[in-house]
Amino acid sequence: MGEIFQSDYLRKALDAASLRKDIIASNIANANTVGYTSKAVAFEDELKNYLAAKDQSGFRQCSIDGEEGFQDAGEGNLDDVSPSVYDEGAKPDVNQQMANLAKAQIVYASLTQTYKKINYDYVKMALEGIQR
Amino acid sequence: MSFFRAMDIAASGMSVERFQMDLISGNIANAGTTKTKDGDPYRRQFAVRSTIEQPEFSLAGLTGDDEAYASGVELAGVVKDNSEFKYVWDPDHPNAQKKGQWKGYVAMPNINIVEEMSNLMLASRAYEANSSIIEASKNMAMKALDMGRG
Repeated sequence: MGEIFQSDYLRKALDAASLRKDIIASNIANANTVGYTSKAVAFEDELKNYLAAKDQSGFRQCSIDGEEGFQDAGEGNLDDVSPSVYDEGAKPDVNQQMANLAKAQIVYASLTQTYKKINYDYVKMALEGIQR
Repeated sequence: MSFFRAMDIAASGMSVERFQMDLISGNIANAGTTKTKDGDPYRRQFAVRSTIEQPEFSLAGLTGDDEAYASGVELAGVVKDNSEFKYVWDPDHPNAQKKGQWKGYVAMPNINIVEEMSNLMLASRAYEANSSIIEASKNMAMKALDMGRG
């Protein structure tokens, strides 16, 4: 089913948002620790590169006669796209970290909402029929 | 478990900031203490922090990188500030110097109240920032739970 791919992306993005929250916690706890430098999470660029590589190699093929689902014609494996932690090289700015925390929370809430819709609500709707 | 990781880190931050606030209030309370047990005036104390990487803080599961850690913070030690005491002219004071270049002066603690107050505000703000991490972690965990509800 096509939406399985969407769920994979959503799960990756949820992991990234959760990781961001942990890194922000680390930055704030160590905001006054001498020698500690701020860390950050890289994810969106990797995902963008993966999607670009997929698009460039052609359309996803759909096999009608037997094999299930879509044949992914693109290069690269979604499993290899992972969020990663890098060092920003400067003392953490608490204000910036708090803003990042607010963003991560909002992103997480919207992702869980979407995930619920796709994987639970729509399936439930299909099983039960639309209640009038 | 991912949600508790951020909470543990924030808790470590709150403990250290709380301790720092205790030291600061000790400094402020003793800003006028001219003689302690060892004979000298009170010396300013401050906390030295260091990062702590417990196995629970490992990010290997999320990033695939075994070396990735989110760091908590711990108290590495309490250090006495070795800067000079302040000398105030007060020859009638019981603890006034009896001889030497500072005869008639009283040695006062090396504490600047304004600096201590601003450090107190920093520590207090850091404490609040850490506690909002716990709140945020809780919110995100509840949102994740909501996915399976209804």
